[in-house]
Amino acid sequence: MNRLHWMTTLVLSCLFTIVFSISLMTKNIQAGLQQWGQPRIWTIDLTEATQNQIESLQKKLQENSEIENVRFVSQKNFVESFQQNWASMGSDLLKDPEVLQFIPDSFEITVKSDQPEQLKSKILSYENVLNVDAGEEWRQRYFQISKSLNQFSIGFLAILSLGAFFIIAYVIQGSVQKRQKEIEVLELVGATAFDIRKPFLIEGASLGFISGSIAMLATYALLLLIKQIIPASPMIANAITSIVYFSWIEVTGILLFTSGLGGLSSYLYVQKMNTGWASSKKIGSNP
Amino acid sequence: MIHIQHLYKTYPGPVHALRDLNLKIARGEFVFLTGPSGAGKTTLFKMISAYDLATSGKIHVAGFDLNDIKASEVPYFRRKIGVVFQDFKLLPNKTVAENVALPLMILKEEKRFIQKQVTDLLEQVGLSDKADQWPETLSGGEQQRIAIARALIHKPDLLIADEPTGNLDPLLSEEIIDLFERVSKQGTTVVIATHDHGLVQRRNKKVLELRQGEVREIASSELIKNISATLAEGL
Ligand SMILES: Nc1ncnc2c1ncn2[C@@H]1O[C@H](COP(=O)(O)OP(=O)(O)OP(=O)(O)O)[C@@H](O)[C@H]1O
Ligand SMILES: [Mg+2]
Repeated sequence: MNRLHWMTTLVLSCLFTIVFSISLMTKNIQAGLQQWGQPRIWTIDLTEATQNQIESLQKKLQENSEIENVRFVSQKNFVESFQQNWASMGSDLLKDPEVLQFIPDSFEITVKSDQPEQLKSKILSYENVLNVDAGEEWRQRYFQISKSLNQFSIGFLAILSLGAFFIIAYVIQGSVQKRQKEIEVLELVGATAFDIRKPFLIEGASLGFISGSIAMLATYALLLLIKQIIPASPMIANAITSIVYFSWIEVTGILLFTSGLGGLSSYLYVQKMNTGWASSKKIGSNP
Repeated sequence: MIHIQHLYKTYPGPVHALRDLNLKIARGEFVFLTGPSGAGKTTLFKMISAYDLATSGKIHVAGFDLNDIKASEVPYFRRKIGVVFQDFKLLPNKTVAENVALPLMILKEEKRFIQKQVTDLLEQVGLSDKADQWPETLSGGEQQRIAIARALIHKPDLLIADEPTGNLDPLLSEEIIDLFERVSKQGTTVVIATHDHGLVQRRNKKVLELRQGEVREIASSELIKNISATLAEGL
């Protein structure tokens, strides 16, 4: 390890910390979206119905094993809760009987289903069911957001990885040039191309591995820091505490990736110079 | 062991270092190669050791066709030969013992075996007490003997030595040539380039003279005459 190696390790660690933080953010946002992307709370709007009809529908819903929780929301309930939550905005509007007429009675159900489509059409076939809102619109929005987020972070990561790739290649180039004479002598006493490349491959892979490990720790420290500082409002706090770090498999995979990146970058450079005839290219080395 | 036909080597310039050179050296032979400075001895050695590529001509060494050798085979060819380079080519960041051990390290021999061989050989070249020093702290003659030990440690089929006694005093020179003769008796083919005509004359060995890119066998007694001829040419 010379000074260039330390500097490079530092730069690469910073670069990888950025890469890992973005990956971790993407991972957590994706996990959040995943939850929201599969809405578990559905709304079943009802047609005009008698108390009896409503009760028999409620019974049918409760008997379904895919539905965990059924709550009846009468027109009156709805307006009350709406007024509580959005007091300033909606209160006047909802006093208007003409508007009230458009708000039906409804059931709010909590769903736990593997085949939401089937469940939905089943509920639609029940009597007095006007409409089922299973959150399709939101699902589509989720899909869009999730896709663009993925594309963005993959593009960004590719660029940063390429940067890391060239930084490592640059360092290896320096090492090779510094050891040109040694490589020449090794070739002349019969070292194979692989014998000669090995130390450089190890050098590149180690750079990747060490920087990757440091960046892993740094990202973890950053995560702890964020968890410590941010919980100001209860809502955000909730989101923050649910942030997770990489799993062990992911950590292993990522470190393999950074080591591999270092090894590959070094390999591609060394392959170019170590042809077995390095010495013959240096004409005029005989005093 | 060495078979060369119509070998040409032209350096950019163009400098015609070797011109239509033909040479045959049989397995087990002990040969001195002489010739004035600039005659092409080092160039010839570079061709023989696959250190550099010939411009044209056929060259077979130790069972390898060097015109046609694959890059991946070159290391295995070089393991069969031992070369004492005129400029030694020692590694400055390795100790004397490590430099000598290099060919065996590359062959991935056992540590103990390597140690024994290195100790043995350093004793034969008179460097036992310098094993742990850095080459740069040693004299030219001492460095030369490291290069000699390194060229012999893996018991090569062919030894080529370019001016191996150039930096040695007469007594040491004789000792090194004695060592080469011992190695030769064990089956190694030996080719030594040298300017030291006295040395050549004291041994009853085959002498080849390289002059203007051509090789010719001469009797060692002829050497004196040739020196006069060279001097006359110079005038
Ligand atoms: N790398 C090179 N580039 C250009 N010309 C070279 C090169 N190496 C050698 N020559 C030329 O080739 C000729 C032969 O050189 P070489 O080193 O083979 O001579 P030599 O017989 O070993 O001489 P010496 O006894 O002084 O070591 C010389 O004229 C030299 O200038
Ligand atoms: Mg020479």
